[in-house]
Amino acid sequence: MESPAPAPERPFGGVPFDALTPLDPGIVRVWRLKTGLFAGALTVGVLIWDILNAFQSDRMLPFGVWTLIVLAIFGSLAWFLPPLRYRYWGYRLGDEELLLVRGIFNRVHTIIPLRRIQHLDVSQDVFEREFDVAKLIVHTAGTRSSDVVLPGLQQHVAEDLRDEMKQFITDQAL
Amino acid sequence: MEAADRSHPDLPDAALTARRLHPLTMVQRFLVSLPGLFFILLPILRGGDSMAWFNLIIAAMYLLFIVPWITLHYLRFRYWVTPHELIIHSGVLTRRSRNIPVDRIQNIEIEQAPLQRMLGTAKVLVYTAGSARAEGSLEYVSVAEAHQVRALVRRMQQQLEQAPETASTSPLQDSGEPTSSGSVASADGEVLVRMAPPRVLMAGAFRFSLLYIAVMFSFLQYIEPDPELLLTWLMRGPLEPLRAQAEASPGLAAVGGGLAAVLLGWLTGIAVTLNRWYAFRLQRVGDKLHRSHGLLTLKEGTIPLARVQAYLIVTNPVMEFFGWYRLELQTMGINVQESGNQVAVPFARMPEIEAVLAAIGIAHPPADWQRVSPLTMRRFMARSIVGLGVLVGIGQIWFEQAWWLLASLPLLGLWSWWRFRAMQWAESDTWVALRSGVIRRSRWMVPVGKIQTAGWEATWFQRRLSLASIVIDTAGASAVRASMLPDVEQDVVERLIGRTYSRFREAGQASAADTP
Repeated sequence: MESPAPAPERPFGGVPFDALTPLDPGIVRVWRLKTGLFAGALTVGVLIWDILNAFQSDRMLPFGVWTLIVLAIFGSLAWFLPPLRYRYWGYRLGDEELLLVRGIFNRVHTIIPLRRIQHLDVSQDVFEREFDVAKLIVHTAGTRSSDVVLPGLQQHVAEDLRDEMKQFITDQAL
Repeated sequence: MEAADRSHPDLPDAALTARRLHPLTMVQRFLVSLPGLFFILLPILRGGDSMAWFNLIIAAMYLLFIVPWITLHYLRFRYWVTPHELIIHSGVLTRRSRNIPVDRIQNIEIEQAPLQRMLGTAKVLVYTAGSARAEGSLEYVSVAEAHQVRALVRRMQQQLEQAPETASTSPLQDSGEPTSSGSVASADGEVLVRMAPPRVLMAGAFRFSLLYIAVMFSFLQYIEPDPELLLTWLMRGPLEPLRAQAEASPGLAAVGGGLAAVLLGWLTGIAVTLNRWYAFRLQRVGDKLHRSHGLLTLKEGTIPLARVQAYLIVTNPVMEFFGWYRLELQTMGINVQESGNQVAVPFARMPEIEAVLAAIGIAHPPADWQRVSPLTMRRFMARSIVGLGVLVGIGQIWFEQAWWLLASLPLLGLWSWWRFRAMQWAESDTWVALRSGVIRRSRWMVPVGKIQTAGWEATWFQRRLSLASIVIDTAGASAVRASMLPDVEQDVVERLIGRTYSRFREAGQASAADTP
């Protein structure tokens, strides 16, 4: 009974999102704002096009319909996508590795061994500063994973994570 | 200056004095600029019209400008090899001072084009880990100086390595005096591969090059022949009987023309291969591989074995049918022309490649290959049918008749089967390996200790079939040919990544235990 538990066969497989650390909910608002701004810009563009073509005789749809369609599609995307994205984002800091799981359509699992980290950045853009979240950028020497972004962390959480991971960085030349 | 060395026992005197390029550099640069002059003078040489004298003035101005420029460039160019850095000062109008830390230098390549071989000079190219291009270049120095610079840099690297931590366990055989002999193959070590001319010709026979088309076009562009003249030459010149034949039987002419193009491509392939790989030699010198090759342009360089990130065995259907393979080493930022990979053995039988791998300390590369899920064929066909449907739909609207495109469906089916057969993975206690490609067949083998990140991806479609893609990231991997293998059963992938990662951890703990 006292024998040590055998190592799990799939140590990173089938990890439910509940078992992972979620992001800070503030990131939902940041994402909404960003996609919302994009949707807004697109709508304004279509609106201008609509106005310019308002008096064309061969119009397919009456004035404003295209604008409303674009607004409806991208507006709802901006509203409904960020919570989903948040739902399918999680991370876990193990004793030797950082596990990231994310993606609504394309689910991506990434194991970043801590001793592979070249350097770490904590950054905040204008929107993130407004909602008091930050992102941690992990740089490795890999081609695909030269910079892996972990978004939506509270500033102090990001800094704590960075300091904890920092001690593993080796000055190992490739 | 020998006496001065005593005060710095470890530091050669050469490290502190500024070095200059070979004076013949000026002659070479001038010679290289002559074609430009030729094109300026072309209108005059062609007989010229009333405006031709204007080109003469431009040519004179060009000469007046280029000669001082070359001289100034030579005078400004200086470089130093110090214990910590390679310093290069250059530039005529904008002065540039480049400092390359010695411990970041991955590879120093010495290159000799035909002109340099006549004059006894060489180009030195310095590659670092961070960049894809040569970080510094010395154009041109004498051959002896090129070798001395390389030996000096190596010596400085060894001193740096020995200072902070215990160096690697392998003996540093090339720690002796810098070899300043003029011979190109300087370092002596165990020769792993040597390609005799028949083998190089054989390698060329498997290669097909369209370089001749590019050469032809650039030639035509420079000469700018009068199309009318060309036509009359074709009609009435010595080729007249050939042309008449072609007119008589166009089908035969098309086949003949196609065959001629293929033959020309084949011959160009042989010529290109011969020029590149002639006298290929791979040696092991301590913990480095030393490679030299080339017929017209002589190249030689080193590959530090510790910095090899992955091994690739590449072939194509024709080569594989006859049992020929190529071994490439994935390194970081050493040479770009080979898409980040260094060719270690250009053309060999599998046992020869295995012998080379064994000689550089790699025993038992993974051989137990596993197929991906056959469902990948279904997914490929689904994608193909959707793509084809869109194509046929568009074709139907624009060109009325596009149904014949559907005839390619059986071919796509065959392709999906070939693709499935090519997609395989393998693992061992020290390796993880992926294999794929119908035309370019590559086996990509990564030592577990060289993995950067690992994981898997699954799109919504893959998840519905419980499939996932293996993703293994390494340094210096090609961004185009991403190191992933799609459509393996989800639980197989999860277990494989779990095992691979625990092996990676063990490898890390073992190496941590080695260094106190």
